Amino acid sequence: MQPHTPRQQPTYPMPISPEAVEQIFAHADDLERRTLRVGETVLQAYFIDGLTAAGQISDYVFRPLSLLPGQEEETLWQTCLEGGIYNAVAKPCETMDELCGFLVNGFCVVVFPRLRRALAMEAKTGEKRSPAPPEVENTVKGAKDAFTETNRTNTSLVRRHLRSPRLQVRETVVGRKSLTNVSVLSLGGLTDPELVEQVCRRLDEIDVDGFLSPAAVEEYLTGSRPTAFPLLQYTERTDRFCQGLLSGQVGVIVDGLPMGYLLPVDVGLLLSSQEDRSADYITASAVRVLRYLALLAALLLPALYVAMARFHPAMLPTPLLRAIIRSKETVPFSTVFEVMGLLVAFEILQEAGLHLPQPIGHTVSIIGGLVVGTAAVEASLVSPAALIVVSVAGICGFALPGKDFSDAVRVWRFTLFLCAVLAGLYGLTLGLICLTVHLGELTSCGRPYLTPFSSAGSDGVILRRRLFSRKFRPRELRPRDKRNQR
Amino acid sequence: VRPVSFLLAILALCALAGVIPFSAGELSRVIPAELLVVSAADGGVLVQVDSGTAAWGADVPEALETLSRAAPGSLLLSTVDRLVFCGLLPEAEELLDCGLRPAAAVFLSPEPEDPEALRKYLRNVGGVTLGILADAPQTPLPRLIQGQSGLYLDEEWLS
Repeated sequence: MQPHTPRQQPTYPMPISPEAVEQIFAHADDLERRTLRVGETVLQAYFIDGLTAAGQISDYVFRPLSLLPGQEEETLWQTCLEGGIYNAVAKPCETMDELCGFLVNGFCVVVFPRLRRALAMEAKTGEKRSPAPPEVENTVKGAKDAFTETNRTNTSLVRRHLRSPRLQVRETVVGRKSLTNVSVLSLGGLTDPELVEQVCRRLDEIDVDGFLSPAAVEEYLTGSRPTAFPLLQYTERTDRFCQGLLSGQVGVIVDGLPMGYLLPVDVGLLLSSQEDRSADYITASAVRVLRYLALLAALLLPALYVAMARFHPAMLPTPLLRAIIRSKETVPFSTVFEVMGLLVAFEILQEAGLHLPQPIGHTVSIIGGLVVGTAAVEASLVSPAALIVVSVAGICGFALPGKDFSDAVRVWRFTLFLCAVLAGLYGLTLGLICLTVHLGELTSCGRPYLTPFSSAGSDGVILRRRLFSRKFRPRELRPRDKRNQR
Repeated sequence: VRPVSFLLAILALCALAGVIPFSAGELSRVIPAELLVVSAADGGVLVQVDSGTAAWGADVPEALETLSRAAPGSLLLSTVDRLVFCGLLPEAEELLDCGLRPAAAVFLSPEPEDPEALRKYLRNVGGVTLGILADAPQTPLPRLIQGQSGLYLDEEWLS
């Protein structure tokens, strides 16, 4: 790891000294210090309790140092650097920024006061969450090792899936205060180098105090465009991440976030699931068609219902129209108020379910969805038709693979609903045109969002092709190695 | 986001100004008619729908307009899919102009009958549509004949 400060400015410009360390880490009671004497030379060792393993420091830093013969500080420095201390990783520090970076990353730092230098030796604790099965992106046949919060664990997981020596891992630090380790992954000879440079450049340009939340990563990395649609893709599944790298996408892993980001993205990628590759091409194609239908239903159903009920009832088949009218006879609210209320109630239920502990969240969903819904219909507060329309739209939204994309659909569902309330099918059509134009304007790392639906590249987006017939990688990702298989 | 806000503002203005070429209504007040009986009465035209509303007018458009006003809700004539003419044969074009759909099947009846009973009887029977009649006014129409146990369709037509 080569830590550097954002914007390349030194945060701590003073020279390396024990006093400087004490000054910077004042009131940090978890900082442990140890004075070491090697002959006449006095060294000062520092490490942060909890981030480091004390046994490892004792065995692989202090013990070899105590066994070294007394010598000049300069000679001792050289001896330590050249294997006098048998630690796997020993990095020299020339600045206080480097020293602090190593300390907060689980290194034991030995300061050589007269030389104004320090030696950082890796002694990270083994305490971290082990890879577990994915919690959100469930899989039947796929890999069960989801990303964890530890950057290095995540890069190692990727290496285990992609044992190519050409897997490139570029590391940087983002956030003046958070000093978050970020890794940019790509495959040498395959990924478009311009794309990798673009991502690295964007990361270097980020100058914030904290780079901790997923929203921060997404907004700063994509440039915070005024859109609800995600301009990068996240996944907690390592196999999906590696598949993205193999397709020519660039991966970003942020320390502290149990997920990997892939970019660029487009609508086709956001609507495809790794599970598509776990099933045969016929089943996968059928499921994909279903997913696109679910997208349309999630987006349009409430708007269509209110447009037809309010402006164009003759469009409904007469028996259906009669049935809906019968069900609405005793409902005191207008169709608009009824559907709007249900849409809002659905969103509130969803939020309530998210913020509660999982077992209670399920209970809230069941009580809200089934009990309150049924009671509302029985009390003639809402009509069954409106309840069915909103529920079907909501459930169809859950059929979309990415939560961010699904959230964007939720936002646009309301917008299109309002268009339909104001001007029926004309309004809905205008809203859809607006949505298409908006999607057409979006780009992710220079790649148009609707790329897969251009006439040139639409092959295999909705209907999954047989794997053996997919000879080439998506050309929109501009891969250096275009051929996927022989 | 801005184009969407702009679109919503324009639509709201259009809706408020009433320039949208159709009006909004509440679904619970809609009365979809499935069968319309048009008969000659008192030198004018009597129209009845299966929902039970009837109205008289000097000609078909006037009668239908009165019918719409007389209905307890918003009468939907565009859902009519069965038309029964009794004692008169109005021009198909005239009916189409009144909002009846070209796919509505047309029948002839000797005298006005209960529209609800007719609707049930004619539910699964096809006929010459209003659109066909508009294109070829001389097209023979299926006839309902008065029998001992009520109306029945002309066997010649059924065969």
